[in-house]
Amino acid sequence: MASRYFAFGCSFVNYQWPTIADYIGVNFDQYYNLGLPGSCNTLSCSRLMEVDEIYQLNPETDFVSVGITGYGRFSIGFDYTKEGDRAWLTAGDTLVKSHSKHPYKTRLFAKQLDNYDWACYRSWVAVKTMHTILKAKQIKHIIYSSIDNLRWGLDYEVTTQVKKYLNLIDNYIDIKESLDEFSTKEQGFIVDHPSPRQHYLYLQKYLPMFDTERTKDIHNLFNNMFTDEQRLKKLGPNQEENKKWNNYKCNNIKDNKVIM
Amino acid sequence: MKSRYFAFGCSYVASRWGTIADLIGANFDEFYNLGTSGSCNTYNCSRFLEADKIYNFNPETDFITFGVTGYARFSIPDKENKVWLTPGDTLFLDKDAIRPQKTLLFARNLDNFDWAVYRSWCAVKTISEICKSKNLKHVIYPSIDNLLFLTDYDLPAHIIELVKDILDMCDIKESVDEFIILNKNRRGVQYKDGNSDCHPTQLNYYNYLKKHLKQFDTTKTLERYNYLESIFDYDSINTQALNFYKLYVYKYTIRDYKLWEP
Repeated sequence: MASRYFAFGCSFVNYQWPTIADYIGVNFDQYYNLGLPGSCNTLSCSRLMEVDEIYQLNPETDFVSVGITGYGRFSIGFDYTKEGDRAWLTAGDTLVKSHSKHPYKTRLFAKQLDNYDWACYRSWVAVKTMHTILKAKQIKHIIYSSIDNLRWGLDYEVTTQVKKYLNLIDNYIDIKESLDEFSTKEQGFIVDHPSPRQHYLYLQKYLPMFDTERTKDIHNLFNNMFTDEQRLKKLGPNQEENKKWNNYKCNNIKDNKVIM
Repeated sequence: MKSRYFAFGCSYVASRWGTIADLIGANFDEFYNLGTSGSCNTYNCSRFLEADKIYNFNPETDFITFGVTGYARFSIPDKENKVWLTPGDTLFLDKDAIRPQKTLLFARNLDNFDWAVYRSWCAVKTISEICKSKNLKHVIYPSIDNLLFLTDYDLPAHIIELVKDILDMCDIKESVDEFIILNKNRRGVQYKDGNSDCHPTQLNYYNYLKKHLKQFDTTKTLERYNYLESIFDYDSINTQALNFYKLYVYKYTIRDYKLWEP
């Protein structure tokens, strides 16, 4: 039976350059990347339920990773795109980093309806659901922090009861140091998105079982694909890099047959 | 070990008179009625997860029911007033409808039928999967008739499939709503004070239980039904609510839920 890997999370999982999921993915026969840039934890949880429905997750062949994202997010269902299609509106941290460039609907939700307590509660529900389902179904999995949520309960004040929920989220997470914190420490200042190299270093530190020959080979390939890390982080990938990366994804990541 | 029963759902589970959950509850040592009037399926799924955390659901002692409610809802916590806003269906409403401002803002600016169905599907699937994989005895049944989503809203095929899938996940296919209509039962109560309430009556629930949940058609259930009927006050809606709480809820159900409130 073909081994399968399903990755869930935000742009720290599915991005315009390789992420930790792409390094892990080379070790499986089939690799599905369900990450959506800017998505919230509730959406990751919903997508896990979709995947379970469609692919019938089972302990024999499957491995799942979940990168926990920022709590201050809320993904809005099925907005109309410019092309007239329907799509998730996933604008990232709208509650704590409100920005005039965020879509109107996400700003409206953050400003008029959302609050720190509810945001934490939603993330707790999502993480608890994913943890419970994966554990109960005996699916091999890893839940790690993508985004640094350490300011919740401190700068972003919540009630005593919600603080308990924040602590409970920690209990469900297998790797406590977030990719965010790890990359920031490694670089010496706050980074927007970790580079491919930093994703690999994180894997070496926390998921050494996936630092295989295949992973090392792919690391070399990615190094050749993205040669200038500083420029990549500052300006994003150039045309040539985009082309190579999209080509790689087409050939190595399976099409997701999710419901939405 | 004490047997425990946890009921989740909307006003068809927890109301101002006895519901199907109150009848089933007579057969357990401890009865936790976690239903909330007007709540959505997502809210009830969250409550289910909280209850699992607090009470540590286990197959030896526990039984769970989930009454699937209307899809066109979204419950919002109101931090200022420290309450959950659970006003029932908001997506269907006309522009003059009166509901809490926040729920109308969500319904009119952000919500849509596709997403509403999808949210309910996620909630039902979550509860169904967790109950199955933890070997928890459970019954998922439709409280509200949501079949109009198949006929009235011109939804895309993949959303229609979700509506059907929700029904597939239900252990009982006939909703309480449909049961009453198809059996030409009278629903609702007209009080002498002029107030009325169109929810299913205690008799409606008892008949539904006898048809679909025969394992709970016991002497204890009959005694509970008779007791609930005996304390019913048809004179006044307020007295009925007070009596129901004083003479039934505080005596026969566990109230200290410790769930998150805004």
